[in-house]
Amino acid sequence: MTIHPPERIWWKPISGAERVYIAAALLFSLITFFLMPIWHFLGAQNPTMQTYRVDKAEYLQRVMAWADRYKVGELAGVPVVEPPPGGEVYLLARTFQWFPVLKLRAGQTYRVHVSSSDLVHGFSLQPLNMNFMVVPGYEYILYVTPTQKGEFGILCNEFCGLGHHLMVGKLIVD
Amino acid sequence: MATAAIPYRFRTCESTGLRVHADAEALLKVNAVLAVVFLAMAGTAALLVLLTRWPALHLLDPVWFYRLLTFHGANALLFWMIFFEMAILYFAGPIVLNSRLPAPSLGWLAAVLMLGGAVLADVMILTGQADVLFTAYAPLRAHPLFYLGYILFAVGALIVVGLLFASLVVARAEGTYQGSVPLVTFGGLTAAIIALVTIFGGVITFVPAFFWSLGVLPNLDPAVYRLNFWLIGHPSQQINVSAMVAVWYLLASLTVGATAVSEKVSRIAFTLYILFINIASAHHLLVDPGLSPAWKIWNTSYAMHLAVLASMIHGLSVPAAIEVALRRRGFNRGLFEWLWRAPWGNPAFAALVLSVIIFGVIGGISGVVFGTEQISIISHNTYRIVGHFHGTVVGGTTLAFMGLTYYVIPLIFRRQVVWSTLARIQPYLFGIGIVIMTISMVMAGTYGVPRRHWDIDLSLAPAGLKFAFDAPAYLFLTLTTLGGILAVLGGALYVLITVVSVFAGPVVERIPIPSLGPIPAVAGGQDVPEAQGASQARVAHADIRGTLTLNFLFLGIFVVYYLLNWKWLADVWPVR
Amino acid sequence: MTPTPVPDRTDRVPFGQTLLDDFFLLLALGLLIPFLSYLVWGLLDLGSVPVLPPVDQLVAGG
Repeated sequence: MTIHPPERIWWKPISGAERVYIAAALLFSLITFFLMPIWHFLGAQNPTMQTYRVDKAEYLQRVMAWADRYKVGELAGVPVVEPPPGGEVYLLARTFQWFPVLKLRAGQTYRVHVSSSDLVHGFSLQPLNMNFMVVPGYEYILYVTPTQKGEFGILCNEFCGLGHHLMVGKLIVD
Repeated sequence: MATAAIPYRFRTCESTGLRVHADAEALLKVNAVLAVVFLAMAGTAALLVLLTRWPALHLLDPVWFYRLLTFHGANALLFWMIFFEMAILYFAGPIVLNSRLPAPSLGWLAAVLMLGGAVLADVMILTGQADVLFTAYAPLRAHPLFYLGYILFAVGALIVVGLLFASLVVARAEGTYQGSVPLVTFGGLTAAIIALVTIFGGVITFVPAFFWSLGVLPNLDPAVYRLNFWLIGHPSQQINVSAMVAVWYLLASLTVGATAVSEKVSRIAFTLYILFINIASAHHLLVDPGLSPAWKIWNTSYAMHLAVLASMIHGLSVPAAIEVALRRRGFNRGLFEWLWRAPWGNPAFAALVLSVIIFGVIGGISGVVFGTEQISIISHNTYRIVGHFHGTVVGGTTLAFMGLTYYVIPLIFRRQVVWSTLARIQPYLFGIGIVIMTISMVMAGTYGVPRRHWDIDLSLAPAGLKFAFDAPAYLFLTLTTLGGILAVLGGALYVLITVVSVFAGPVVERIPIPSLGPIPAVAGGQDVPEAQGASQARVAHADIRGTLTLNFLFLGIFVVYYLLNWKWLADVWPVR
Repeated sequence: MTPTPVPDRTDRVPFGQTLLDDFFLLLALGLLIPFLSYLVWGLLDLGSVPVLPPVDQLVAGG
């Protein structure tokens, strides 16, 4: 019984039946491990990102300046910004808003800068369901290639205060 | 300190033959009772949260939703689980080893600290001074007493873990057992080691946070906080995994007289947990900035998935032990006669089997898949994650602990489990509810539903920015609520049966345990029936064909779901 | 009712068994491995995050 001490020597050969399953499970464990570095080098979707330390207030200013420069309209009081194709894109998360609304071109690879000017937020692009954390004081750059046209929503999926569910942004691809 | 001349108070358990130290038993009882109290509170909050996340009802306002979600997280994941695990440590250490608990007064101090800390944290949460969710990610800031509550709770738990190690030393020194410790003790040791990692993580997270909340420390780096937090956050769940597996082996013995098919295999698996299970806290940080892909991939993998292999090994060994025990009783026909003729009417057995299945198939598979570095992109902070951990912690650990309670009541509290018909269905009600709920949560999250979110209708968002989730998201949220309500009913039934049995159940002196006598009844359930012409002769070698079949089926499901997720990942936009 | 161990052999206890019986060894490794692999390595990664270079250098493709 499992509440009794085992026999004096319990380090004994393993039965054939157990070996078979353990070998299969070990093989599966190793394959699922190695697929990660393999995809890192060969796959198109990786959470690699380039990260820099930044000052929260400085990031906010930089985003504002960039948004002013490439602003093409406004939606629900938020600027709509269309940067040059394949260029720098800035996204700011703050309670309780995603700033600005982005207008991108399909098939182009953009350098998307993401950070927060206050708290930790969760970037969630829908309905694609692409998710990344947003951490104040850390600016990271994602190389993103929109491959579909349409309007996409941005949610916050990390609790950031009692107005957390007010944070909705938009990304337009044409 | 007592000297050798003072006799320690022991009783000999008439059911198991174990020598039970009175102080160890008293502390076990207190921790078990407190655990159930906190479970009841956590479950009440769970119901209210569920009814709010159901868009059709949307019960609570945002403030109370986030507040009760904080409460639910802290009380379910920390207080219910860890109090019950302290009870398990008192059992797996001194009691299983027939030994005394050294320095019991420290155990009482620990209980006071844990209770005080939990109450303090809960009061802060309910009075709106810690609306930060149980993770309390800086720069979100709570009242200093919230962090202090967590710290006191951790210090209390640390004392009990220290007492476990002290018990191991004393038992060995005083020769109360021969050879190696029993497997259940080894599982308890695994849980205790992981608890030390957890408490260390708690100290490095909450002590600075406490001083920051007082204004003594100027700021906390949010990325460092997250790294530190998950050194308490996930290891606390790995204590649950280890304790749950120890309970699986224990229940297998108590319900059908099973013994491990291979002690070597089971112990190696526990050792892999000790070495590697905690590094996978990295899976919370896979889409975070600042951490390298190498760090992410190595750590999320539990070291090349070796600790995952350990779980798959236990998922083989526990059913195998049960199969061998039942085949020995004569249920030897074909692949599965042992399974059909098993004591399904024993609620502890039902809970055991459901726990193994739900933990493995739902919790385990989703965990490894969503913990894959790249697949985190389509999973992180969605409801998929919520489905995963309710599969492991609720369908796995909580259900196993419920099953164990059906033996704690007669063996420790010396009462008969009341309302045997209701007790028999309780694990099924809870288990089936959890299955429906967790699968629905994963599906809802696959359609993008976020976790920790008050309103997927986005009704308060600016009109021009709103978007709608696909219809299946709503269907699955409804199913989540239905499954959850069933589970809450099952949980409420468990609390009720437990409380009434402990305080008003008929007194019972002994309950027979299978391998110690002829096939008898077990508490609250039916007899393990004996097959016609059963012989008590030892089976020549372990026949585990039924278990092997089921485990290869499990592996097949794993492979399919795993590959599907890579496909879904490949369908989203290129990103790096 | 603990089963009496039957010492029918005088074989040495296998080394693997000795290792797994050593709870302080397991404790030491169980603390050391996550400390180094998860925490120290993770802090080193976070600590080596570079400060943002001047913006024009960034755009040029840093």
